[in-house]
Amino acid sequence: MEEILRVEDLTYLYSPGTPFEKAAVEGVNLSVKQGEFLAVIGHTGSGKSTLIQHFNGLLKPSRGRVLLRGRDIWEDKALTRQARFRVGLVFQYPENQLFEETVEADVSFGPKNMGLPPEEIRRRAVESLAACGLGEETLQKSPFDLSGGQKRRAALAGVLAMEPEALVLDEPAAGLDPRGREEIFRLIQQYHRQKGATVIFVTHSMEDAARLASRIVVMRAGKIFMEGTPPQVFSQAQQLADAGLDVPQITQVFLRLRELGAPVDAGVYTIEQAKEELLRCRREGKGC
Amino acid sequence: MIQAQELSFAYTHREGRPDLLALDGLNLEIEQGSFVAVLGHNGSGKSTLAKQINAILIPTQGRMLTAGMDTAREELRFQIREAAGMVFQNPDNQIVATIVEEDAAFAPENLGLPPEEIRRRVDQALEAVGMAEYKNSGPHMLSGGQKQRVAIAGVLAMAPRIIVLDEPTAMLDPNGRREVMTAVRRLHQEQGITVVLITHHMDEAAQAQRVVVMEDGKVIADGPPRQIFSQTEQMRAAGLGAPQTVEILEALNQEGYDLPIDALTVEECARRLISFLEG
Amino acid sequence: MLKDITLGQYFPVDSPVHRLDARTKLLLSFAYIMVLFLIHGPAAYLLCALAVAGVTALSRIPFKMLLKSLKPIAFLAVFTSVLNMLYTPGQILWQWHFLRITVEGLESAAYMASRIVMLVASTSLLTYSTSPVSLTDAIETLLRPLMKVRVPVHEFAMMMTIALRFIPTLIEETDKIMNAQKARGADFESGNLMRRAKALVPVLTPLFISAFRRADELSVAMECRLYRGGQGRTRMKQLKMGKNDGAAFALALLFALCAFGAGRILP
Repeated sequence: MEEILRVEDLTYLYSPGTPFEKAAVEGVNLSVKQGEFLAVIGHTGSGKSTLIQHFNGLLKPSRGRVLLRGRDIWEDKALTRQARFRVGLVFQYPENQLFEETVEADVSFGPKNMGLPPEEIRRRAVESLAACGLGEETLQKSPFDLSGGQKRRAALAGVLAMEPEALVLDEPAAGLDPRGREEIFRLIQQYHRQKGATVIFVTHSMEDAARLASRIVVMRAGKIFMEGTPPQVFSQAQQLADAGLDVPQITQVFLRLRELGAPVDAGVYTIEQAKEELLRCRREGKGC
Repeated sequence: MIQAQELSFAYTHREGRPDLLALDGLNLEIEQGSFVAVLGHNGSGKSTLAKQINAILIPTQGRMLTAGMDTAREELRFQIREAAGMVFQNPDNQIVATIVEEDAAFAPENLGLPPEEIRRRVDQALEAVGMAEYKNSGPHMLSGGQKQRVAIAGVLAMAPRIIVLDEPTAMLDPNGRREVMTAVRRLHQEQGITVVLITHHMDEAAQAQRVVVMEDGKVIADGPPRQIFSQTEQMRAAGLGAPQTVEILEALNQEGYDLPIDALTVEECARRLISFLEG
Repeated sequence: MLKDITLGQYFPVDSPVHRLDARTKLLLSFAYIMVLFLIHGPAAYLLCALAVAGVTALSRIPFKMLLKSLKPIAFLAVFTSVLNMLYTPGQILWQWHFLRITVEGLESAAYMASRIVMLVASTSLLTYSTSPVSLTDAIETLLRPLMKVRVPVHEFAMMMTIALRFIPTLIEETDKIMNAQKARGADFESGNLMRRAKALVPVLTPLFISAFRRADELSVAMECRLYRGGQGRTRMKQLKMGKNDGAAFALALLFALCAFGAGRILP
């Protein structure tokens, strides 16, 4: 698959040149392929939010480069601006950033800034709202009259309306209940499938990462700590747990089983895998 | 300690939206010194129930008795709030002062206590939530979990008999959640305070002595966590699912085994699976 | 970027200056500013500068912090000194068309600049060494006589405390909202002043909405913590004047006499 985004030796310093100087991200290298579904995981302060704000040029690297389809986004001004639209960034609690009088106007904010013709803006507003499960009747409503879940989806629509090649989300499910989480991830997966877009999402939840992502990047203290497909990452479940990351409960159970002497594979992260592994182990019977 | 009798509550005057019946003839009794989790998805009425306990909201119908006091009686409101403290979801919006210890002092100051007594309570409360070493910090320098613990200390310094926590971990990261839950458990164990924890996290509810599941303004299940989480079908229907420790045992049973599925902790689950493997 | 604002931030260390009663510090700061505007002559100015330096050393606040607080007013200090330099009549040193620099101009520019610097330095010292809560407490007690004429002194003090508490929160929030809008192509950096001001309107809407929501939630939380106004309220930290405060007043009086004296005796 073609590479869409590449980060080379990225370092970002907060308050450079002062006694408070601190590297939020340090020497990070990352390549993202077209159509990937990538999870970035790590503690608060691990640098994951700082990292993703480089993807659309919101932050300028202190050192290193960010390449969008092979071109440095800081090469010229027009390209930097384009990066904003080609890489759609959805912040945490995006519903707090709604501002227009109507949902339509709010969702149109991005496309308008792109300089699109009115009919196209209108088409995109309707389409992206529909993609977020909001019908045409919401267009003329005030965003502040929507329910909490609807607000979050309207805010997501505001970014989807730019039809970005890559969609980057900072904890899209933060603060939602189980149903709300399901719903928002379903919409994101749908966009991924239908548009063939690349999706990068930041999360605290190893469970969500394991369940949804095709690849996981684990950040720790500003650096990439681990990277790979879910089976690859979870094969090192013990290291993840030792680093204080929140591995899924079922993985914790399997780590404990190994400690208790059961010859099970510790890299288990779904109930289905766990069941198969336990049945296999029981069948083979040896050493248990 | 807390008694809801045929309690109904409707939100009215909602700018162009229809009235909403958030609590629908709810009956609930919570004993002194217990640790109860109220579980439910958004819109189930659990937060509305929390606000009834310390008279932020007053029943439209039925009665709410908090520490024996009817919340509908306006003259008792101050005493009700002193007896039942409340911790909210967003720690940023409940911290009043610019210094941690001065925030913890807010409630006892409002009670008009003498300075030495306030000092004693503040030190104790900050100690109880493990924030004593931050007493001179500004709240904006703290992490989410730390801020929420300061908010708990602020309520604790009021010396309430009941503490109601309305989704105190919803905005926190996993570390913050752990910190807050540890503090909550200590309140209950060491100080014997009645704790009502509103949450939609199964693993948090599992730490309580009793779980009350709400849906559509009613209680649909009520019992010890072990019993509640074994009712997996019912929990899924309520949009809540089950902990993975229960799910794996249930999955094995679907393959024709007959394991007891009520494992609430990783340890319990691992022990059960070991005996399963040993046949 | 917005986070760099330092004015009015408390620097919590333990020092004799920190331990002084907030009222003492508040009154003495006022007195110091009055002295600043009444003195004459280089000796008196030197004495004032020494006083600020001395108190800073005693307060264990790093000089760097003090310099940081001066940065935002550097422009103002330079601007007013230049005006003073160019528009004070007197003995001409240098002239080009209508611009002229006089001896008197140079002198008054130097005085003006040092006055502004010392004024800001002293108020920064006050806020660095006094927690905002004790400062508002001090204002509340000092203004208490006004309650007799129905000025809501307690309410003002409470408002100030809450405002101070929420400044960092709202600054952070502004940053977030601006970033989110930049991510959707908003442009805050180019164009003329008018365009930039217009680009800020969409930032203000969510900021106000969030501020109102916060105010709403905070007021409920305050009620839950038994707040019902200033009546019957006690304080954990009583403001207490001690020996140190007496000593501070005495030292300050001595300093003021010296400063005035220096202006008379020395040229």
